[in-house]
Amino acid sequence: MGLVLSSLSLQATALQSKLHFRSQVQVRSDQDQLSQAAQRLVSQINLLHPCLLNLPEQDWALQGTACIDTNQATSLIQGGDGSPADVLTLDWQPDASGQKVMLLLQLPTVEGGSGRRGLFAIQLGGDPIRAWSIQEQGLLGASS
Amino acid sequence: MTMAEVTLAAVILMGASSASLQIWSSSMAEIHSAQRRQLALNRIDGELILLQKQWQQLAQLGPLAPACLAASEQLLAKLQQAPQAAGVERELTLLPAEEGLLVSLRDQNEPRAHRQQLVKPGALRLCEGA
Repeated sequence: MGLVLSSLSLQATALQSKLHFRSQVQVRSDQDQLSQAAQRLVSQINLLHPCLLNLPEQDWALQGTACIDTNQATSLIQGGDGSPADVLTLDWQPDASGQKVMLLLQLPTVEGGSGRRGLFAIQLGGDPIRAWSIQEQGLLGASS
Repeated sequence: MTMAEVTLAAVILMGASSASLQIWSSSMAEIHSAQRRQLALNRIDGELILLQKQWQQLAQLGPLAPACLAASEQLLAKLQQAPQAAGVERELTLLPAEEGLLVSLRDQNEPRAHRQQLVKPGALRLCEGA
């Protein structure tokens, strides 16, 4: 009886290890997608719309924003870059120093997307000011 | 207890023991395999962190070239020179139309352990645009 129970317990552990690995692979895949989206977004802002660097995301689509029209701003926020998995920009929040931005992105929730969110710290600097560093701060888990 | 009952009990015991040992053995093999896969994932993560440090250090120095395609080419050349961890396959692909550089890492023994990162020079102040 002891042998049967211990072997079943080991079997459960093995199954758990397998599921854990699968989940780890999925997390890394999500990290990579979010990181690619961050690179695309920051590149577009750096090269085409640098006035957004120090502007909170909620102000991007406001009428009167100098360097971008409403449609372009909406496209940036909704991740309309033509990639298979468009990633949503949930937040772009510059800090008071003007040297750092917190970026929050979310993977799609439809078509098998996990809806996982990624937080990135963007460093700004130079003259003219540009983003020069993107560091992932962590995944925030899937939204319900 | 009759002889028939003793024989039946012995057969059941042997069958259960044999099945349990088989499950035990396959479970142990799976657990060892899971440990190997986890190590492979950790190796790939470590390699990626090293490469990320390389391009962050380059970004601190300022633009590599005015045009983003030229900056991607220079970045490619610099990352190709970076030391490579044993057991990790590294593939650097220059994407067309200034799309940047695709960095793919894969464990040689565990193909499911892989990472893929896009590096866009425009996002890291390594170029100034076309």
